[in-house]
Amino acid sequence: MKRNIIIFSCLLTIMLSGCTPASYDLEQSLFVEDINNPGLPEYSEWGYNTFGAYIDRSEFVSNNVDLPAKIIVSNDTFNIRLSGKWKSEPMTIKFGIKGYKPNDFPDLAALNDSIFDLTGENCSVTMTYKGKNQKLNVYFGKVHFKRVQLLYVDKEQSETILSGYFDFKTFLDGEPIAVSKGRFDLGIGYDNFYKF
Amino acid sequence: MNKVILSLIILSATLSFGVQAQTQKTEKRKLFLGYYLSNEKESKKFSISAEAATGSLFDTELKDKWHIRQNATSGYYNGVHSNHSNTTNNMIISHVGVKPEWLLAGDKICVGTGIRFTRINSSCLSDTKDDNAFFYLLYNQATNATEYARVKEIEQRTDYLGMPLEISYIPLKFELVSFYLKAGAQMAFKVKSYTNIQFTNSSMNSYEQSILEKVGTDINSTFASCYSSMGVKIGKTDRIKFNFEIVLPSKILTSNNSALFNSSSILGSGVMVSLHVPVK
Repeated sequence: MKRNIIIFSCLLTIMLSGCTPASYDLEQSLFVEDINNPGLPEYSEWGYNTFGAYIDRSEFVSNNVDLPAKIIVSNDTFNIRLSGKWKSEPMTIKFGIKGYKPNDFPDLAALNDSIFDLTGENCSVTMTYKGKNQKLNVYFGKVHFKRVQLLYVDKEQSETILSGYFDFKTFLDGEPIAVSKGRFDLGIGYDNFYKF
Repeated sequence: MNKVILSLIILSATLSFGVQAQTQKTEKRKLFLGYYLSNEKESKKFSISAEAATGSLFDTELKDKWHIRQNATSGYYNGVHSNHSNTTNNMIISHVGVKPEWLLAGDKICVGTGIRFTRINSSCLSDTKDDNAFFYLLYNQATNATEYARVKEIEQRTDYLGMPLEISYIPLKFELVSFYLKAGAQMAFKVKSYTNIQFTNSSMNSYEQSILEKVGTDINSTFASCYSSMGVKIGKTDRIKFNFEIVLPSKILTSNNSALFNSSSILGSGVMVSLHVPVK
């Protein structure tokens, strides 16, 4: 009898765990794989909170645990931090744009269809990997904010969706590497916009 | 619309006249049909049936004009990437009708036609079992502003009035039960259509019509299909009979009969029940 109760409890637990309701929070990440670029999310403009790029042959992609993006505006620099995993290790790439100072997330609309040359003097790229933080010497590349949308849900402003592409070439530990086919679709709101 | 109603009235009158004429001309038909009316005394040749049926469509896919944000699903990382649709799509076709039927060929063949009211019910709702579940419907997209509404369900109900034409073959007939195969087609015209969006936030109700107009809910004003079925008729000869049919996968001949879905045009299986009253 006791054994039957245990077996029944186990079965019930398995059944219930299989019925996890889908989340419909805009803050959740939603990965729709790009069939033409396996391992990367499809380019989208829905605010799916994902990004991805190939670093040489391996994917650097967002995950559903770490917050994929933060916008940090400090002093006179706009920084967008992309946090994900590369070769199963946490990694962050930060693009810095000097001279652009949005006050809050709705102001990001000004970025719509703008391209920044990462080799320019006002741009910087920093990588944090395996606890090591290094400023990259980018000799070719750009980040393109293809579409920036102010998102209204039930007529109330909710967040700003940043969608676009990035790619660049740089050196990592003295070796040249290519970051290619980078794409992002990020919802930026109260939770991940900081200005100080 | 008036033309449709007028056509149906003429059809009904023609059928009624046919019934009366048939009773009067029984003797003549006996001579004309010879063998086919040899069992005339065993069963009534004419009956009126009242029918009701329902069936759902295979493979309903939401039209591209409905922009619905996907839901986050658990476990999409760790190699299990999914392109998950977060809505349950249903398209159900039901009908009720009245249909005079004639037995021919020694009760082996039955021909029927009449008036049929068809309702096509299309609905799209969140696929989660949670009562508060919703999905995001993108209904407006300007250069740098996008508007979503949180929606529980989108439903469209369209009513058609039309005429079926059916022929049945009855290969097996016993005292109380007979089995038959049926083939039929129907043509119907739209009477009315109603589309509704159920929002989670009631303040959005005032925007419902403008959203529907923006997306577009126009549909085909005609509906035609052909179908087949197999069934069993239960009841004594010349008494009220009950029919139960399994409708086999059928073909919808018209397109755009739902503003919500691209249907595969193949109607899935369904069931039909009917009651037959013999007429002297």
